[in-house]
Amino acid sequence: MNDEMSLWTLISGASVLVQMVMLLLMIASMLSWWMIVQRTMYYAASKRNYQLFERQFWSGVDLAQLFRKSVSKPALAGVESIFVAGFKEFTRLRQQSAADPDAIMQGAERAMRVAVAREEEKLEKYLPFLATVGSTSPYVGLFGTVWGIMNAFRGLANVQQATLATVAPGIAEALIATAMGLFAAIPAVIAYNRFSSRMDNLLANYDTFADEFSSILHRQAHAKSRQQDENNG
Amino acid sequence: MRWLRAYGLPAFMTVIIHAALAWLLLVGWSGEHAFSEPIVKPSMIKATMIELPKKSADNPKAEKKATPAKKKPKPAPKKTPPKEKPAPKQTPTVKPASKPVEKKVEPKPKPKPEPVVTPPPKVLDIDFSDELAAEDAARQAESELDVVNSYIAKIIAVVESVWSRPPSARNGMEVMLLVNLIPTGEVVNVSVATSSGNTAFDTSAVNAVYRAERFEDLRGMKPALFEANFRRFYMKFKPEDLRL
Repeated sequence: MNDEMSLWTLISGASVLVQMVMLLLMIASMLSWWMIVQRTMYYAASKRNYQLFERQFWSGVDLAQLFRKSVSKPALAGVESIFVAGFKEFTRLRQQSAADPDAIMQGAERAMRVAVAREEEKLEKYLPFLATVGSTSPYVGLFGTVWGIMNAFRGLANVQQATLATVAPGIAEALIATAMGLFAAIPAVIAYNRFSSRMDNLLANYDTFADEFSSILHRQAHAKSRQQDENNG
Repeated sequence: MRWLRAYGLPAFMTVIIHAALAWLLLVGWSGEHAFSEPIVKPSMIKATMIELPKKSADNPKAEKKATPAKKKPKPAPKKTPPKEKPAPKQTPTVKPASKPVEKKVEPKPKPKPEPVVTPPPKVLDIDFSDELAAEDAARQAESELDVVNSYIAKIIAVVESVWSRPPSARNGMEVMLLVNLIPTGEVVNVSVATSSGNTAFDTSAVNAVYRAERFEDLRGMKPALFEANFRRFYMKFKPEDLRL
């Protein structure tokens, strides 16, 4: 009898509700692992992009040339999109000769702020799900276990002679639910903490870049306006 | 392509991780049960150690001459007046139902009671042959043989304790019984397979098994092991070292 008590028989022998709980946790675990791997790759790629772009940006290349190169790329991501948004707005506003330097700067900064917000949104994707799995799946698993143990004890009430062998399989199969809940929750919590710190890190980098870039644009805008003033005057 | 890399790869990794976990669980599961097996075995062996010394104590004394059986022309043993005689040790032999191949197990020599009287103390000598068990052992785990042996030792101990050997028993006599058990250890049938030629001796052996009635220890035994070894088995009785 004991030889037959495999993991599979434990799972298939559980009550329907416990099986539902197990299925739910299994799906949660699958999804959260998928997100963990996907996010890891995404953050690694974002970080690499950022470093690459920053090196290019500060290498003294002409901004207009860099802009053209960036725009020609099929998909804009990360810091590049902030740069493109700011520069596009800046040039567009400057071409309208009426605009004054402060207005140009305000427009460019606003465009960059929007781009940063959009990037933040992309970075944040999936993190709420991980947080939810991390915080609720132990409880879901616990629920399955409690239900299973309740059933095991109810079965025990009908038996004349109570032995450990009559309750043990029920408890064992109920405990699988807790194990699955923990298996889903632990990686999710770790990943959530790690990803949110990486996200903060990247966002801080983006903000710094946006500030630096706007100071460069600021210098250009005011240099231009001073030139115009001199020409006019 | 890009899409596949961004979403397919994580999906693949996810499946790998879960498959690895399931595999680990299944392997760990079976390993745990394999571990529980040795725990059972030592307790059985220990039980035999405790039971063996008991044997010499409560054997009935052989008394009085019985009429010699037709084939054995030897005179009945003369005994001194009814006096506390040393416990005779006998030799039931358990044999699974296949052809006998001799294998000898010598239990420790029994303490011999003082041989004041004529019948010298017989040395307990258990020899059993079990080809079937040996075959099993070759195929299955060695531990299984040990388990069977420990059951055999228990059966011998029980039968020995209730066997009253008739005085007409002689060295070289040998009766083979066919014993049928049911899984609870109860004796359902005993018959003489090979007679010793001495009816009294045959009957005493048959009665000993019937008197044992039930081998309690066999109850917890694995069904497969029981079917292979103890459902039907031969038991050989011979009064060894009986110098009369």
